[in-house]
Amino acid sequence: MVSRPLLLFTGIVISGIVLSGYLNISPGFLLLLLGIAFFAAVTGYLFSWRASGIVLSLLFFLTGIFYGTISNNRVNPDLFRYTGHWVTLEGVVCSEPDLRPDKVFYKLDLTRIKIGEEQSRLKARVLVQAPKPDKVYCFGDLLRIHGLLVRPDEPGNPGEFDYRTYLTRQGIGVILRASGSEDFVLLGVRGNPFMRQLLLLKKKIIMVQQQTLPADKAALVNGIVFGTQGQIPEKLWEAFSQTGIVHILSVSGMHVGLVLAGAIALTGFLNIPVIQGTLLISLLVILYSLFCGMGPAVTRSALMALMFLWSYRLGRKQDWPTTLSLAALIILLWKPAAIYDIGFQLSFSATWGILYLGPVIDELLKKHTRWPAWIQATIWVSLAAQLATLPLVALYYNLFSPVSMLANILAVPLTTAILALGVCSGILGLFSVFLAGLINACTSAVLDIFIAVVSLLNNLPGSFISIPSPPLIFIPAWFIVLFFSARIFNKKNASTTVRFLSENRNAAVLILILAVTAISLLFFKTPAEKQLVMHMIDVGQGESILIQFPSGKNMLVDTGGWEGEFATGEGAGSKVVLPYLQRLGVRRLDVLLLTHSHEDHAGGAAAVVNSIPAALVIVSSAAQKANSLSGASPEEDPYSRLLEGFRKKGILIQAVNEGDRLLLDPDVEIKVLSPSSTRTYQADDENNSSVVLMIRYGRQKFLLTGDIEVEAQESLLKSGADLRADVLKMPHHGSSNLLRSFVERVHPSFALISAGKNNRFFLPSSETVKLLKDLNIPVYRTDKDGAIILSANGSKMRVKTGRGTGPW
Amino acid sequence: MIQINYYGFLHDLWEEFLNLIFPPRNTCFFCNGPADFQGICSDCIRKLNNYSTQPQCYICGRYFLSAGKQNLLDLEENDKRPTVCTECRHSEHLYVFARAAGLYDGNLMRAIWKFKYGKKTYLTKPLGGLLTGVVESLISLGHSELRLKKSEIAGLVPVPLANKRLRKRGFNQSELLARFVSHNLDVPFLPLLNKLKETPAQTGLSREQRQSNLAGVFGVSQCKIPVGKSVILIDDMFTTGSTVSECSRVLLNAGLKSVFVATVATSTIR
Repeated sequence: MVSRPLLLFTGIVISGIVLSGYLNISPGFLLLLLGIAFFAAVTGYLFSWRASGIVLSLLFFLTGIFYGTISNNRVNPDLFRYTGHWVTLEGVVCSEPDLRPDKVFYKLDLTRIKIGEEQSRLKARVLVQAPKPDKVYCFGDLLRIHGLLVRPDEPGNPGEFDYRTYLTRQGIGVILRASGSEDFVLLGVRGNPFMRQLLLLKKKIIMVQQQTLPADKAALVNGIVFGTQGQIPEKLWEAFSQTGIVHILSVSGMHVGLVLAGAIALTGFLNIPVIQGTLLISLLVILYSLFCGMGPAVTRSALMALMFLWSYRLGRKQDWPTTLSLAALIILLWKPAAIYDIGFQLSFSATWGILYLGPVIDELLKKHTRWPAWIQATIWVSLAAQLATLPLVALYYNLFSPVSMLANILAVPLTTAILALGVCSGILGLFSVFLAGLINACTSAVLDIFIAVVSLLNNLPGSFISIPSPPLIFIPAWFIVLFFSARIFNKKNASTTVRFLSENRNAAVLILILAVTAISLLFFKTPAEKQLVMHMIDVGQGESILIQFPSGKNMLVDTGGWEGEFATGEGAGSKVVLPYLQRLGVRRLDVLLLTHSHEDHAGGAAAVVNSIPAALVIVSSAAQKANSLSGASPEEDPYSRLLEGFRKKGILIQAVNEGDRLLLDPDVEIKVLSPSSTRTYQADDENNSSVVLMIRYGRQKFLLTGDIEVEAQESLLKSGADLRADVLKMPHHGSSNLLRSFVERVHPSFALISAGKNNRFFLPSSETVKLLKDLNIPVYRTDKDGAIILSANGSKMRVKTGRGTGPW
Repeated sequence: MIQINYYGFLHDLWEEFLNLIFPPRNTCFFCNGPADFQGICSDCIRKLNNYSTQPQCYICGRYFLSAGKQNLLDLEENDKRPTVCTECRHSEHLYVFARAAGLYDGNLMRAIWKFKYGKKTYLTKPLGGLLTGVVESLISLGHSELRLKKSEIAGLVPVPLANKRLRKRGFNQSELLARFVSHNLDVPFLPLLNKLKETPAQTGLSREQRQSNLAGVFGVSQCKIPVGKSVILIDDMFTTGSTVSECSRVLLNAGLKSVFVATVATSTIR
């Protein structure tokens, strides 16, 4: 056995950092404790105390808490009082700009803030967002920028990416939104000159690729060589992640390994003495990781590569658990918040998988197959990495990719070629763009094959399965299962493990239960108590409501939609509603109901139905009539095109009106109250033609009103239908186009409003809010509370909101 | 007055630091099986010791192993004199004694191979450990046979590598071993020799070819020669003894009194 003190210490530091997120101890006090512990540890070492191990552990634990606390408190709260105002900032760009197809992000170390005539000095880090400019500033530029200071959004929907926390962990509390290049003034140059030169060099290399390759391909080459991901087209990115080869685009062990191998071969070829060669290779590895932005994955790979290299020079044998934990320790002491970074978690778990599970799988493969060694190697590496990252990928991306192994076998050799060609053309291009162009003609051909392979695999049926977010307990369960199964399959440890398990029956049973639950949790939803759950998803300005019936059926009422989504197909549907459904593990929509044709209600429908099949689409009977009246040809009208698309897919489309009933669940009564079958709706009267639903489960009733306005509300009142309900979804995002008598008649226990934060229609209107206040009706709003989740069992109702707030 | 050995302290600290980053593994260096300590497991030690009971040439240390070929042994009945192989008896040997830790075979062969060609420099420790025993026994042998005091042994001289080979391999295995033993036994490390010419690999050549290959290849380096004292020459491997003989010649010509040879492995007498 090996004693691995570093493994233990890293574990202790990690627990300290994690714990610091829940504690709130002042850094000064911690520093004092740390000093005492340090003194005790030194004394203990010098006098060889028996307990010095414990003292040392305590020292590391305190170090973890101290570093964690410092990193948690990096955001300067002084800046918050400026949020919501137009301000002028002065500061130095402190990292490489993050270029996106349509915008650019800078991280700015603030020195001065000006609001109106008031000026003050402030030290803080700010994220600056600007539309795509002609000139991109670089690291070390001292800028004066004018813009609107805002706080990053909190996630509205549970399980959604938390942008605010993500930025907070980088020490960034506010975002400055600049509106164009005229808001930027270059004042001078500051910052580390070495880094600046390095990043300028990188910029030049990236430019070479952009000059010699088409934009998409240049983005891909730069992604593979440097891990710059911003410019890669979203579709391609999605294809990469769905086929499980997205790791190719983030510089990690594979890339550093290839660079290392190249450097070793080069020093050998040039006959450089080994000592100088080792120094040179180390320098190259460090430079490469600086080039790639020192993300956690790059830093880990570079550190491990250096330790691998120097273990030879120092006459030592590598011990990978120690090397891996030392890499983690160094990264965490440098940036404690990295522990929450997805890249950090994925990189370390994948590496653990490759080093721990890999050899076992390799052995099994060698025993049972006679495939060529490189296929076996790719299989065991990618299988091990996939197994070890599976729970994290399920948690963060709701993905499981069965083709991943095949994709890796095909993609990894191609990536190697692209990386080699990309490095060559980049370096040569610094001297002659023409030569770079020659090489890149070759690169381009390889890229064509690469892209073709990836999209072919991505289009295979069942190339990826979306899985619901597993509960957190699943993650440790999965790792325990992996740990023990690898030990059982491993020849060397099998006997001791089997003996341990047979002597500890309880442990064996526990592991078996864990294994079964771990796997079943991933693919099947736990049968919950019989209830109706209504999710009003926070889609920004728009509306989307998912209803999960007690029988397990799902109905989606509207899909949200951002401006332009009909045309681009990207927005609320693909970015909010679809991931929301996938997190819940919804694999099929029994009904998709579109209340009316407006983009904020139906814009996301195409994206949702593309990934989650719908059995039936229900529309308002009036919508079609209105469309034919408007005179727009079906080709021009995006809503008609949407429905035409559904028809082509073979989805049944059913128009409903007043008096219809949906028989979806035996225990739930769904009545359609509007649109009226007799009234004709004009083209500009779309809102009034909305489908209005009364849903009753046991003693509880929900009234969903679409976007109906006064006219439809009046006719509902007149129709004499029973409008009493416990929950009223306020019509038209809480607009003032509302009858007091309608609300009074419904007389809900509480109301729901779906509206975007700071939307340009100023919804919900203050009059509606006041009206609800007057009537003493509490209200939940998606703009404030995020998603609103109602669980009803027929007699009792529980309300949960995405931000844990409300009612108002 | 207390003398503080700063170098020793720093060295220990550095070793501790390395132990932290590259913790030594308690597995056998030879067979990778579990061991009770860092080093070589008892099984492998036993296999090595199997040879030590075999008859051995008193001078060159090689084993009489070719089964049945008793004529090589040249035993004289009831003679208390140690056995000496025909080669050592008939040709003039330049070194006093050569000794090795075991036969170049099995695990030891694999370990040396891994060490030299697989560049597994961590094997310095176990191989150096074996060599330490050899050097110790040579010192006591020198004491009993030649009345040499330990102080008369000036130090450990590694067999040099040519620059080109050194560059390619990155290290001189004899030097690593000599440094290790020197630190272990507190005997000076003396890099007295250097190799002036590259020679083709000695493997597969006859004794005569080897000798002619080596003529004039080694030279004495610029440092101060401990004239009139003895040294122990360190190498990884003793095959026919041509290399160490040639080195001994150079050293004796430079004015040393006597040369002993310690290697990790030795061969059998053909």
